Amino acid sequence: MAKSDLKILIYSQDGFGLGHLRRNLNIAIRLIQQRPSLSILIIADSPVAPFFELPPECDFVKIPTIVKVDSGVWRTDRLPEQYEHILSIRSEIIKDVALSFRPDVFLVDHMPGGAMGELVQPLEVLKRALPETQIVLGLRDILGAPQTIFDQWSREGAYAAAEQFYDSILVYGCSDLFNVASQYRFPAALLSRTSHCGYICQTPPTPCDFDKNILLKLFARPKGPFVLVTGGGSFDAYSFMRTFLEAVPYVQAKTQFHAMVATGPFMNQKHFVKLTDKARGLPVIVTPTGPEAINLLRRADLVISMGGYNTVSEILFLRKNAIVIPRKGPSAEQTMRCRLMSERNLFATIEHDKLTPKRLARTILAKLNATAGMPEPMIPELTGAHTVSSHIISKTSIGQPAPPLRLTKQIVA
Amino acid sequence: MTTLRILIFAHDNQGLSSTSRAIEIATAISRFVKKCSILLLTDVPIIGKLKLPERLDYVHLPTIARRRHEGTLGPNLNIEVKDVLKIRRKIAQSTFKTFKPDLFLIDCHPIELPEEMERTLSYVSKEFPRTKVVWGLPDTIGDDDTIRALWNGEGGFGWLARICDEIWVYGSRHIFDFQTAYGLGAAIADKLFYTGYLGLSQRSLLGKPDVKKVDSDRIPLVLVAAGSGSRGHSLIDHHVSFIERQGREVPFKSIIMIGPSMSSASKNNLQVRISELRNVALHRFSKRFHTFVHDADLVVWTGGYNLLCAIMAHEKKALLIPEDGVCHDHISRAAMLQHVGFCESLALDDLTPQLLGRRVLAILHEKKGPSTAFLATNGLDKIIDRIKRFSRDRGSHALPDG
Repeated sequence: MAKSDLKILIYSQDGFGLGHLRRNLNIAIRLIQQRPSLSILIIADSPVAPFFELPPECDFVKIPTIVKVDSGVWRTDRLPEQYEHILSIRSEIIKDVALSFRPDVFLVDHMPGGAMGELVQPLEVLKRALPETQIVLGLRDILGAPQTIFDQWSREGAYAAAEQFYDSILVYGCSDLFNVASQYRFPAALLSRTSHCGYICQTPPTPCDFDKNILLKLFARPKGPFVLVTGGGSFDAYSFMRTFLEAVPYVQAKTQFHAMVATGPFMNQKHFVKLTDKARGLPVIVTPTGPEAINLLRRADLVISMGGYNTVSEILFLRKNAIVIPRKGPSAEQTMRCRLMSERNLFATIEHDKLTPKRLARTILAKLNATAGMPEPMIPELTGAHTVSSHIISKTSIGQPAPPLRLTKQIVA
Repeated sequence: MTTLRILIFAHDNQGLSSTSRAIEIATAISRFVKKCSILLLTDVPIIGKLKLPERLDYVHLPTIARRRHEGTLGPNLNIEVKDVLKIRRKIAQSTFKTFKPDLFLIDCHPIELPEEMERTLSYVSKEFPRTKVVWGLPDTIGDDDTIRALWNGEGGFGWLARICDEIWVYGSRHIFDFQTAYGLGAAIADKLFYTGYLGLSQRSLLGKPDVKKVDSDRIPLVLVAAGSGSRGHSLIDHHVSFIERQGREVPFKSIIMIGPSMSSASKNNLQVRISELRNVALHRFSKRFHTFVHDADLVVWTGGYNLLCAIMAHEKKALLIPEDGVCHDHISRAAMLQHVGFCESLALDDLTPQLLGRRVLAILHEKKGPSTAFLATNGLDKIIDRIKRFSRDRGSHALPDG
């Protein structure tokens, strides 16, 4: 059997979420499409990993889970251990996986030194043992408020780690929407290695059973447009989903519609039951969804979601009519993303603190009745998966010539 | 107070029986040994979908699964098997080195033990002499001659028995004695500890089964479970053929539970055949198998250990059609269970739709189900006691259930 000519290791720290894993898998899928003979190993820590279907030639190592509580504050998920102990287990496994897998490229997601610096030692060892390995940092479009990130990166030595270890830094966003390098004050040494690649969207639809027939079964006689309410992994989606259910009677009084509230794997069971109770008698179905939730998005006439990277990217890619409600905190990431994108007419947004049932109902009605004459949206570059994948392949000695990297792309009107 | 750290290694190159047994055991430990921290090393790709107890996290290793249609071992990654094994060994060793378990429980049939574990075990016995290494095995691991040769011959797994401190047999010495059957020397025999079947506590952990009103007009339910191998498919074929030939006369309902080795195409074919029939439903093996066993009046299965425990826990009538494997463990199990009168067994090669149907009807008509009174089915309780004692001996304070 012909064996892999290119090996790629990906580090994806998620805790109670799926965002990084999903994005990294989208990159992995594209990499394998571009170069079917390669091998991809993903180091993940989501307690439901891999959750999504892995492409062929791709496997995962799950390390014990740690969960981010606040900026720079972590705890263990399941084991009654000090998190330092778990961190040492993780760090040791990562180091040994890197050394024994011998990747051509090591793609690290969003933290130059990993969670609590767990990557620093593995990266030092890897750099010494395998100097040929390209080490690439992937950063999403917006990490958080500029001052917060600057302070955190300074405190944690992330700038130093980025400078010491990384051959290139790929931003999964657009510089004219948010220039990561200038906003987070990258020193000149990092600036020259940084490229903005555009947003990463899911390319092929996930195979799924959620077809029209099932929707029809769920709603015996669906009337009016279909509204999808999704909160990604749904770890903290309860509050906006409850507000949505409280908004339903106001909307119903004005227009017919049917909705699905798709809860993710991290929704607390009690909260799920409360939502189900609240939905009784309304044209709404509350249902736990898996990886197929993203396919439901294709069917929706209106999407109401939180402001996570992947959901927003899919909304943009599918040109969906959407209302996006950013997570309150601890990070300003979603609030900033929503503000910048709603200014470009990409979707409507309601800040978390200003969210009331009536306000949401008014926005839903406006969105459902929206007709021509709406301001033209300015859609950012959405071909990030291809650009990132080409870049990664071209960085290796045996990489095929790839199309030139588009550093920044003008927003198209 | 110190926490008792337990590392469990479960390897499944097909299906998930070893991993689900490990989770079953870990669930009992987590519930009754409060001061514990359990890490599970597994290579089952769907581990993230399984319900895990508190105080347990897992480390997933790259897979070297048996490919569905080719039957050969192959990794998902597009690299040499030996390189995948090396990555697995490195992960196992670094987990060991940093987690520093007090107890290392290996749940894996010795013939299936991946190479990387041999070296890991040598490493463990050298570097961590204080860690108790326990080998967990089902009630029988194969027919006498095959295992005798493997255990005592060159390149066999005798070294492994020497390396570990204890060998737990999740079965009963009275019905299957490892020492006599496999001709084990005294040194190995001293390490044997029979826990009994992992049956009864499974039920207590699940909570009491619903007390259903017995409806005298109710049509009995037969559960046909094909196991993880592909030979079970002919069992399903015979069962469905019998129903097809009987037409509308069949006096029982069937649930057919298929394992992971059945391809989607075969499943679809089966689905088409079944759609013509009344009272037959098809399910992929899932967490619901306990519910199915609980609801069934008769379970027809291919001899897997976990299903046997569920049958014992719910005290169901059973018919065993053993699936053959490298070590003939299911055949050995069938002979043993038939010998003690727990259930009847038929050879797969002799099976015809008529024969299967006749036996199913006959067993359904029998007044009484099998008696498990003579079987020790409190294996999980025994394991918990053993671990508590071990924990006390080490001076750690694993407290009894509060």
